[in-house]
Amino acid sequence: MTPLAEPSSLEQTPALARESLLRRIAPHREERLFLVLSIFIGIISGLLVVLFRMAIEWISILTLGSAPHPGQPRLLIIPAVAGLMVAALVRWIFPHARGSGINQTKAALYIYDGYISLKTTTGKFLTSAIAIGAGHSLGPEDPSLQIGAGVASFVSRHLKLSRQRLRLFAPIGAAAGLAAAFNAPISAILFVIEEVIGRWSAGVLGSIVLSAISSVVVARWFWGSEPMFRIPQVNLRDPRELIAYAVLGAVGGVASLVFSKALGYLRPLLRRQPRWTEFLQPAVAGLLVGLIGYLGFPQVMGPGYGAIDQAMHGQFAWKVLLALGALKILATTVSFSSGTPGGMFAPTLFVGAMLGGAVGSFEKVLFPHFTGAVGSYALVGMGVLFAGFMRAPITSVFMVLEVSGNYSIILPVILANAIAYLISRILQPVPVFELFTHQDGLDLPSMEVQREESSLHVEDALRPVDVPILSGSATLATGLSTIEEAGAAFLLISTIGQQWHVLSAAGLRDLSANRGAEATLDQTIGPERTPTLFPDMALDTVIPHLAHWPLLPVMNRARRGSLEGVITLDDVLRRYQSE
Amino acid sequence: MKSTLEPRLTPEERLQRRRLLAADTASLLALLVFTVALFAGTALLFRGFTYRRADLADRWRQRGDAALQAGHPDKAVDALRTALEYSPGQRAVEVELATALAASGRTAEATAYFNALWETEPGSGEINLALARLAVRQGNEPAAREDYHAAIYGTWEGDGTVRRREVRLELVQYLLSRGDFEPARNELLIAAGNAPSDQLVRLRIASLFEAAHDDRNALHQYREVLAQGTGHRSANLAALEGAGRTAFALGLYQQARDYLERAQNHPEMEREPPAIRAAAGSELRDAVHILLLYPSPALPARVRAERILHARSIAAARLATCLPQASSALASSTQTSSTQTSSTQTSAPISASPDATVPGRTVQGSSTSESSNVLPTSAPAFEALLARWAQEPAELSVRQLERSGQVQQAELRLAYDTVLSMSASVASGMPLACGPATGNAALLLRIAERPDAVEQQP
Repeated sequence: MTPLAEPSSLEQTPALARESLLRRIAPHREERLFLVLSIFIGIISGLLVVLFRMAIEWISILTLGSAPHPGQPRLLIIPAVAGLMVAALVRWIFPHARGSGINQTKAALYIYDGYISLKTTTGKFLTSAIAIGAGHSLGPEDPSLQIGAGVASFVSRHLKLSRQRLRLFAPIGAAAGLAAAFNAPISAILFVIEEVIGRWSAGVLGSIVLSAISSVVVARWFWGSEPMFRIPQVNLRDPRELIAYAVLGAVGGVASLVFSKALGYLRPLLRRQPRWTEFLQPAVAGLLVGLIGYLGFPQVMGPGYGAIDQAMHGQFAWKVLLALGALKILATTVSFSSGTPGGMFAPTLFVGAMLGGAVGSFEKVLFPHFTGAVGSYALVGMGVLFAGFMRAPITSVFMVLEVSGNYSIILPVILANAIAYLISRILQPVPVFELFTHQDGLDLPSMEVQREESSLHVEDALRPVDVPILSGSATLATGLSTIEEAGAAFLLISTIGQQWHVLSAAGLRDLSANRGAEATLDQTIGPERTPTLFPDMALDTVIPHLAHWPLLPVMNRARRGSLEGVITLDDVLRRYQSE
Repeated sequence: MKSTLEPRLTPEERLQRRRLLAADTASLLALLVFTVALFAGTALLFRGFTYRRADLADRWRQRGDAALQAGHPDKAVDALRTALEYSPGQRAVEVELATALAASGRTAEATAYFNALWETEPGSGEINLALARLAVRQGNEPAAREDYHAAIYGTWEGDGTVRRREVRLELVQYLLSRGDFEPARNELLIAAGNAPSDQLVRLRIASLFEAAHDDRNALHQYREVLAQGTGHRSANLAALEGAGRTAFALGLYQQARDYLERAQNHPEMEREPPAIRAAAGSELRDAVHILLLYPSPALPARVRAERILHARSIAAARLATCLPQASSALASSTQTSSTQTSSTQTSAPISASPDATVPGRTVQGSSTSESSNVLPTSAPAFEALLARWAQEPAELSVRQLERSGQVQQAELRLAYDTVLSMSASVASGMPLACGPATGNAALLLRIAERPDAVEQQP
């Protein structure tokens, strides 16, 4: 028996009966375990991410040397050989380790009840470390996210939690993995909510926060509390500088579009090739990336954190920055499309930093007096690409703020990110990760659509009060005559305490026959009252009540006794059908 | 309360609950043990990892330093960049890298790098100095000045006073190279005020004062060096030469002679370049001659009178050379005085000829006769001067002069005014028959410019 195994009597119980039994004998067990496990998941994910980053760097030093520079033949050989190795591992041992890790985590959440196998997690760790360490132009953040989700899945499975809980653990682990990789818990939490879960959920938010914080504490224990990049002093010197940031937003939007289009074109093209080429594609991609490094730009190899740091500290001239940004788009497109495991976060940040730095440097040449530090532009550029390419606008803003620790840059960030997001959205309606899921034959929910889904309200199905209203003190006879005169199917009854009751014509006749026509309505309708509804309430909240009430009155929030209208099941259905 | 509403657990269910709790506890304990073990393993690996990174950073920094010192800034750039990748944020390495970028001619990158460093530490003297040097290289004078000043008033690690002085002196050199002598002199005055009593520092400041055409302050600094004794022999010689040179330029010929004589007798003098030795020797000779010409009030009355008469004759000769048409008017007096002088003068070893010829032209001959038509003898200054010469007594003897101090002063003033007037006219481009003064006339002119300074003591 493994230490995490449960008593045999429970194990042998069928799943549904077992869940029912657990609810009976330990009703609060899952809630308590949920919070404790979130912390464990955070710590273990943090440790694994630390190991993952170390592995990448060790592999990089061992294979490419401590200072790769142009003209070294190994820059050509190593990424190609690593590509072959990774292809073999993915083909024969870890078939689910392909890709970045974000879509795989979403698939686990929406399709596989939060299940990510230990084999896939291990495979992701190994293959991504080899590929990124050997110079493929990919990043470690998305694999970290999947490693975290894998840890969460493994731990929760062994505690035999309910299917509903198991599903929730995937985003908890994902947040922990991403937070440790980024050393930025808020951004990780927001990204998981914005891109994995798609909505704010009170049930899971607390656990996500706990796990993200735990993993960041662990990561900082090792790497220190400094942000991932050394952030230069950032400031907005002159309001006119916002024009320059707007230009950056536009440039970033176009670059995001180019990046997305390139991936959208090359990835399916390579997937359509014969199956045997799957072995060669990562190797050829490695060779191409190595060639870029060999010919003069080794900065594009691997995640490129060093180059991002250098760009933020003004160590490149604008032409070099522009060249690095363009070459990184090319290298990442090739690496990712070939199926090499690795993430898109770091390359996106790389391209953003380079473009931002280039725009900043260029504008500094044109307007030396009102432009701020080049580092500010590089930092904002990272957010811009994140907003435009990843299509995570909220995360992109908070990421820049969290990484820089400086709120004075919020205006440029919001402006530039919004412009990039809008350009990218108009010109590329389907976000890139959604495009990948379609290419992979999956149909995962679109987070962008979910975020912007317009929800219907009661007022959308409301109709004027077209039924007679009587006070509860009226007699059944009065009620009968009123309803017959009006030719209505229902009668609304106003009772004490500004509460309401509804009677159908048939019900009224039954009551009159049983209790006598002179009995008052209050005496005969019993204690039940209609629920209090207001026009701004979500329309779907009304549906359960309509099973019991044929018609529901809708109140005015300012004048409690005053009716805004009535609503029936037909009204609701008609409204939904008209959407 | 709720539990009372729910049906009680059966003994079997209670047993299962106990077993479930035990299993959960065991699972969490196992998870804890696993986490602790993973933490320990990660910490162990991380230790080796950070050690290796630090080692690589050190190694690449050393390579960068070595490449920089060996004059291979391109290699230094790569090495230092690598060092920074393994150990980011090391200020000293960042500055070295930027310096290497500048040295390798990647001025735009170096400027961008230094600007970025400046953003994080705008008060850094080192970074501002680097930016100033880059601005000099780019020919951006306002930025260079601004950055030099920011460097001077910035913060420095270690001996800030020394670094600030060095920067200020570098700024002075830059200003001198641009021909901005006034701001250079102002900077030098501040540097001199803050300079320590170090011979080499003072010597450098003195030479810069000299280059900024501020001989008085230069002499003061040279004297400061000499006052500090003979600690540094070559400095001492340089100070003697400088003091002699500046004293000579200021008209302090007695001091100049003393300093230059000491310089000539200095044991290190033989090692000086021949050009410097020759210049010092020439100045010494001129100083000695001037002192022999100078009618010092401290001389015996007769000797002084003889020198005044000699000065008068030099001035008359100069006037005759420059204004030949006026020579007839003066012939009698100058002839007389000349005769008198030559008869009484016994001990004036004047090296230069009093009636020196002007290079490139002759005093007599066609060129003189051509220009004589336009000679400005009617100019008010010349009219007054000629009138003064015309009023001179026909005969003037040493004895006459010896008797009257007032006559001595008048004659001396006339001689000085004559050479000064001729010099000023030549300098202003007036069409005279003579060029700049040479020989004894030149020496007399030097005396005339500052007669009180000739024998002035420090």
